[in-house]
Amino acid sequence: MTQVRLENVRVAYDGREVVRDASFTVESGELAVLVGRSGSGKTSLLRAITGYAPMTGGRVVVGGTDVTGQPPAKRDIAMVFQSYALYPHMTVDENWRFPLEAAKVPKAEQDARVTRVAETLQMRRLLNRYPRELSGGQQQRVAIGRALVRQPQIFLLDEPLGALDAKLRVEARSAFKSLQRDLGTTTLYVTHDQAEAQALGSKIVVLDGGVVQQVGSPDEIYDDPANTFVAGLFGSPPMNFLPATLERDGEAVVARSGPLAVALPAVVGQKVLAAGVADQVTLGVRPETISRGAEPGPGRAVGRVYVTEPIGHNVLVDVRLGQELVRMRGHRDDDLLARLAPDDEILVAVDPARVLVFDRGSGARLG
Amino acid sequence: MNASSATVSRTLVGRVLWYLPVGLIVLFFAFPLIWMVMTALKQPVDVFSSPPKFVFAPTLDNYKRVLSSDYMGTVGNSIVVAVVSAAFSIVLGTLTAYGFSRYTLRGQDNLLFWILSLRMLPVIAVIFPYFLLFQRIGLTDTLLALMLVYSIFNISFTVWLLKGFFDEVPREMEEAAKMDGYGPWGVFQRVALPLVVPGIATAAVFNIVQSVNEFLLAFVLTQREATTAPVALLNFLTPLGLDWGGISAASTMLVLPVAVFAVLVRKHLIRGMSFGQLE
Ligand SMILES: Nc1ncnc2c1ncn2[C@@H]1O[C@H](COP(=O)(O)OP(=O)(O)OP(=O)(O)O)[C@@H](O)[C@H]1O
Ligand SMILES: [Mg+2]
Repeated sequence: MTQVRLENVRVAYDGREVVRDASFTVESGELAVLVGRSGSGKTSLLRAITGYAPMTGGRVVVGGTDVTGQPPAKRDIAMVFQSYALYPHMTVDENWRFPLEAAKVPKAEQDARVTRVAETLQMRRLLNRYPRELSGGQQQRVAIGRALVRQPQIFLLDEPLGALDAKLRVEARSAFKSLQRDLGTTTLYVTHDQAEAQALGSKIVVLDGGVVQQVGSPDEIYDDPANTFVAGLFGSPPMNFLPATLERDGEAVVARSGPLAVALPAVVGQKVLAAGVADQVTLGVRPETISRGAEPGPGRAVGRVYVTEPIGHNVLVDVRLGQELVRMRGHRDDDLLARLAPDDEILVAVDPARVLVFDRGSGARLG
Repeated sequence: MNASSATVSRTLVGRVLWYLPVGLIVLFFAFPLIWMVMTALKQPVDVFSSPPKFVFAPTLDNYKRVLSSDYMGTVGNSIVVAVVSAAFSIVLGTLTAYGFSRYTLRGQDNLLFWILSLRMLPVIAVIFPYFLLFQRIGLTDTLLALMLVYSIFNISFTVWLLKGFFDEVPREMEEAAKMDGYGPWGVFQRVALPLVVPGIATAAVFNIVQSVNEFLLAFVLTQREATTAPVALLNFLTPLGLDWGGISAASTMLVLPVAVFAVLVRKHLIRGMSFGQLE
């Protein structure tokens, strides 16, 4: 069992806390993704697991044993550093053998492992090169390879695809995903790219300001975000946020934002009421849940097209709705959205079942 | 056609503009050396001729005279002292520099400054204390005394130079090595040390040149047995005047081994002098 469990981990540099009370679990064999903006504390959290961060509280449990006080060398964790940290005076082959020599792996076994990894990463012909003779993407594969040959219990990767261009990134990440599945090594993968997180992880941990915002599957994170930060981080284009006021209409709760009035589903309405906060809220509406309505009705309002933007077979339409600018996304072959021109009038229809309600002050999810 | 000949002439002009000043600068700094080598090959009449002669009938008389004297023994002394004290300083200095670079010690800055201050002392200030000290413990006129004194100066320089090099080795690289299963000694020996080889080569050359050049301490601390070459050069100051040809030939013999060593490690030197910069 090689589960990794973090319990209330705190990391501080010179008294400044950069990771606050982080708790989550990476199950045995799982590929979990840690996602957050630059400076949110991702690397610091990884370093808490490896044993290099100055931890001021909490526990790190690997495979059932508390390793919190243990020196890094004892933890059987392999890490791919953000900077790769390749040994510049060693060839690719020597870089890979380095950890094996420390572990006194017999020569024949070393050869076999290096060959296998070289095959997997398609680096056979580069084995005798020095890191400085390799491209950024190749160096990144060397770094991954050095972790792979060790066959460690735990695999940590710190933005390993950062140096690649967009197209290569997509290829590399799916290659990595199948590699991880074949190996079945417990993996924590760090990225600041929400699309990468969605594509890779069976579990996503969202970090902001050193605080874990939410832990969940990609679908949970996307459909059921815990707060406006998580809601805004995932999805492209990002979620629309509309300031709204709540009005009670008998049993029903109606959220009104400018010309738009959305009757919240009963469950949502009750949760919002139960939360008992002010009636000033923020509505979260994903661009793909907005469509063009045929005739007026509840949850619909007239707006004006501001600008349209075809993207592949999608089209993005920015609509001026009262004071707000709302972005909707649909298929280009959808007749209702095709051939819209700026300043056209358009009837915007919001799907009430997919509207999210957030506290306007704290950003916390209400319903 | 026109365009390409234009670029050819432009690069030609560029090269001339580059090599001409470089050549002049090299000539300027190498001139004393060239003059020395030439003087060593001149007959006494040519040495003082005015205007100076650049074309003359070369002779090996000077070298013969030097080689048959006991001067070569002092060159041997110089080299033994220089090599041993450089090696000792590098072993000790490298370990010390690594310690200062990687671990925080209490009073670290004061310690470092104290080490540096050893280097700032004018030799004349310590020369008599050393003399009295070595006399008391019976080390005057021994190679060991010179090795010890030179090592003090060399270690100071070596620590400062190599601390800069170790500071440039990324911490993450050492963290990676530790996670790869190496202890402190393994990390030092397999990762940090190979990366500061240029610094070590630089320190070696500087230390050796420094020791080979040193005159004042050697003059006071040695009488006969342990005399080094710079002191022995005084013997060419004869009652009949200065034997310039002999001095030049003798100096050449002293410079030669140092130059050979510098050439051997030159690959590392260039990177060493441009200070660290791991690629
Ligand atoms: N060694 C250190 N000493 C002091 N402060 C540090 C140190 N390392 C990181 N920090 C600070 O801790 C905070 C979190 O840094 P961290 O490197 O964990 O962020 P990150 O999420 O990995 O960012 P990025 O995506 O840019 O790599 C930052 O404000 C950073 O300035
Ligand atoms: Mg980072």
